[in-house]
Amino acid sequence: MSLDTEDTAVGARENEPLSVISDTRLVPGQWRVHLGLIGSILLMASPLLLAFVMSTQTVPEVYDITNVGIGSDGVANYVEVFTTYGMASYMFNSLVMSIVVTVAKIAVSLLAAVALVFYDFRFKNAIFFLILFTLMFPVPVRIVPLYEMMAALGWTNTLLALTGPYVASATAVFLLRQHFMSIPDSLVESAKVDGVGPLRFLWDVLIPMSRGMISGLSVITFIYAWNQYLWPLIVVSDQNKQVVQVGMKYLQSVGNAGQTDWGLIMAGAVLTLLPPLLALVAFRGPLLETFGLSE
Amino acid sequence: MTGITTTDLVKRFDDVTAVDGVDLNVREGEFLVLVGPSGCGKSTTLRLLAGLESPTAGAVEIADEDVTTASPSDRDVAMVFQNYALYPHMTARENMTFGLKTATDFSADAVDDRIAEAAGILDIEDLLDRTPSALSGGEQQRVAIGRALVRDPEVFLMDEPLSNLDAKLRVQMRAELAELHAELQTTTLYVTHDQVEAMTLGDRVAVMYDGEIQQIAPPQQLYDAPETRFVAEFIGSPGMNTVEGTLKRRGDAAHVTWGENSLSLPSAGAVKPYAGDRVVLGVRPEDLTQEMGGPLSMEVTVTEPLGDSLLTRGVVGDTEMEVSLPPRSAVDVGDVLSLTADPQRLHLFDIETGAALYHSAETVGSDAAEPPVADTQRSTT
Ligand SMILES: Nc1ncnc2c1ncn2[C@@H]1O[C@H](COP(=O)(O)OP(=O)(O)OP(=O)(O)O)[C@@H](O)[C@H]1O
Ligand SMILES: [Mg+2]
Repeated sequence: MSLDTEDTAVGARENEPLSVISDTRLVPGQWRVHLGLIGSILLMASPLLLAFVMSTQTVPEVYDITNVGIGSDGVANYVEVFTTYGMASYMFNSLVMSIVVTVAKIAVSLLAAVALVFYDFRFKNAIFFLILFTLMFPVPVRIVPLYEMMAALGWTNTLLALTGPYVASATAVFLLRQHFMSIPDSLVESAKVDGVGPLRFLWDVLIPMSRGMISGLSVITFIYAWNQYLWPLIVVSDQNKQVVQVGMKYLQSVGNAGQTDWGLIMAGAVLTLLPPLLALVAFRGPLLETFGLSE
Repeated sequence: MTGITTTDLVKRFDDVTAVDGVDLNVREGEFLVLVGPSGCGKSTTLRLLAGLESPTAGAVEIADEDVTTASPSDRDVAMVFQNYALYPHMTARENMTFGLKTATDFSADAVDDRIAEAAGILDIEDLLDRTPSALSGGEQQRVAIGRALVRDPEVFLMDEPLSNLDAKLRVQMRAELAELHAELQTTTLYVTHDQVEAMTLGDRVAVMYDGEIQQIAPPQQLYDAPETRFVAEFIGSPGMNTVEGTLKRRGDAAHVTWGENSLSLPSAGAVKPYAGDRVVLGVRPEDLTQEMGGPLSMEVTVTEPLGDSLLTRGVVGDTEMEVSLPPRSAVDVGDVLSLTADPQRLHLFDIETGAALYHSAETVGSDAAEPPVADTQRSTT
């Protein structure tokens, strides 16, 4: 949407008033469209905005439905979730889990995709379809057998149990495989003739050539891991090893005289939202590229 | 010492035989061009030599060493690909050093020297810090050749390296490649489907058809004395006219007739034996001339002014033929021309096997001293 298209759009409007919906900003006469857009954005963002507003309010203020202004608690709720309720440790645990899952998932998927694309072995396609087949069995479906397995391994309550089930990923293998298949054979052959080994090829050629795809996948994986609730709830029993999504649940049981302290919970929720939001904002470019949405 | 030798090399994919018993002998320091129509197995042959495919049968020797089962990196070959195969995220310099570091054990200084030298030869000094996307096709091709150069391999293998360039650049790069080879004298096997490229670049040219080598000879000999009908029709632009006719002998004289047309052959005693009385007569368009009362009459169907000549296509007897006339000849579609052929430049081929039976020129080719057996024999089956 550059300035010169704006000019032509304005020019066109003089000949054909109001019949063309312009795709540019700042066009006079389009205020209805903009009003509609602003309205729908506000509507979609309202839960977030309300959460933020509530996180600054005291308990009575929250329960006063008409009060939608910034509350009188200020940042007190935020300080409290950190100091009294161990939010920092939940967030740290989540961060460790998400990073481990992200790194391990990408590493395993890269190797699997390399094997599927650049090596010849028997039943290659069958194996690929078997991998795709696992898409039908996400972690929540397998919770009971997985838990039994972790118990048998003695892994419960450890980082291994928390991250292990997330490491293998059909989606990541699939996306990387498709991407690798678009790399010309001659690049691989040129490397072979020059004696470049498979690991060096992966590290020096494939990974740099897939940078966008890998960062996109990383963001998605990070957010996905950060948002896990059910599995950590089941496999981790120590409160100080718990992740932030479950930690939020603990906040709910806090409160005086049967009144849930929504201010506190919303402060926790806003904090929980921040890391994925930052990741999204920082990596929006490669993320759009991953799904072929960038222009 | 030899550059490359293959013995009865065969490569079968599931249902196609891409390479069918190829015996190649590229001498050390030679520039051999492998030429043939699309799908005849040129690339497959090259890839067998590079070790990127493993042969179904046969053996490959490079620099007197049997490398039939050796991995590509152990063969000391460098390959230049049709699509350049440059790594898009690396600069030209990094592209050139990447393989160099693994394939050889030069010190960092030596690497820099080699890059500088290759860049000098190829005139790409200013481009070394650009990535491929910031280079034109010709420049990318230079970098790709540079990447092969710095390796200083035993053998260069090139698979249609110029075919992605526009016509003018191709001619220019062709000259540069020839110069480069004159300077470096590295054994080179060069694959192309363009017979002009083959003729201009090759010390010798191997013509391939349907997985088999038809003939290996110096360019002029290929043109003057094609060993098979296929080579005759493939080499030259346009290729040789071939027409099926009957050979009639009367004493020492003989002539080939088809329809109302007849050409007499000098010294017909030299015709090799063949079965039946039908033969294929070959005569190049440039060896036909217009002559009042000539033995051939052609009804013109198409004229193509090429600037330096007027290429005229027409029907002689029942057969399409082409003739290269002087430019600005007054010829129109529908005219009937009287033609004659240079008696010194007639060829006969066996109608069944396509093998050459006779070339009327007494001394053929410039390299008559060429050892004839080792590298020229290969007939169709
Ligand atoms: N990997 C493969 N699997 C099956 N068939 C193949 C394979 N590679 C090549 N072929 C077949 O082998 C034959 C020779 O192919 P090749 O690539 O060597 O031809 P070419 O002479 O290089 O042609 P072009 O000038 O078009 O590059 C073709 O019929 C092709 O279809
Ligand atoms: Mg080819």
